[in-house]
Amino acid sequence: MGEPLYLYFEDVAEGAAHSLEMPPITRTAIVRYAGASGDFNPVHHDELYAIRRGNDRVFAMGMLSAGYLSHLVGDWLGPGNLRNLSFQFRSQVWPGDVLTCKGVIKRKYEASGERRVDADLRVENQRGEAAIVGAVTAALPTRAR
Amino acid sequence: MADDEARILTMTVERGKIAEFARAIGDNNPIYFDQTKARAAGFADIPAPPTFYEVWLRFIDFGGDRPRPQRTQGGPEGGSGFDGGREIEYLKPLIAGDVVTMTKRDGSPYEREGRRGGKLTFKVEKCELTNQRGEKVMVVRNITVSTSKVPGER
Repeated sequence: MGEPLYLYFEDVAEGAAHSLEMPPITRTAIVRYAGASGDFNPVHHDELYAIRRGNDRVFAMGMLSAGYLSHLVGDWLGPGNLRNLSFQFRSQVWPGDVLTCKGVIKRKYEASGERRVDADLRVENQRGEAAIVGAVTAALPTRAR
Repeated sequence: MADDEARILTMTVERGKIAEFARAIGDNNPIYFDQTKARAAGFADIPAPPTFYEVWLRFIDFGGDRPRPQRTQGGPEGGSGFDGGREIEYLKPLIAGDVVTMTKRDGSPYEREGRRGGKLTFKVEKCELTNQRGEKVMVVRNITVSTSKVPGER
């Protein structure tokens, strides 16, 4: 691998946090993700269908918010450094919602000959409610080599 | 589940699709758009974003045909299924130009009590991605939840 652009293991402390606020969710952003991902479930783009299914209006795919979360994790820990990423969807995300992705380092350790960190992850809306909770493990480069 | 019930799809990782996907999740990291920047960051070519495999998850059940609206339609209405989440293991980089085979198998469903009462049924699909060199690249567990609530109940 070439020169890393992201965090070094030595520069990370347990408890260190990182966050990323995304622009408000729009129907256009939802449709754009539908096209890019191939998720054409009409509950995400057909307002009449969504209402008929008992929703107030269309809502975003969970994986759109998870994509935002992967953006946070990539910028912070390096997209090539991920070892595990897991997340659960906790609430629906609606047009107009403003999502903030947050990560906190929980543990630094060595495993499988790598220097690794575990972080807790959360995506929350403008009311502080969790849309996603999750966790990531990444292997970070070291300055020592 | 027996192997003969696995769904298998082989797809090429395309630079244009990576750029489209990265834009859709608002990720402007130049490694997703510029081969030179990707190489400077240590990748052999433009890498796929961490959740890029989703593109194939939507195709695989239709035998690689263009995606169609899913049978499970999410929503708070009773008795419907919704997306529970993912558990992803990253084993090797996934890079533009790779030819990836995805194999998807259904796990055994399990049940839990919901936070607001009622029974939740969890279904886990296990997807393994292997590249053209036979290296396992990723394992993705795709979790779907369905509720036992009666229709109309919120």
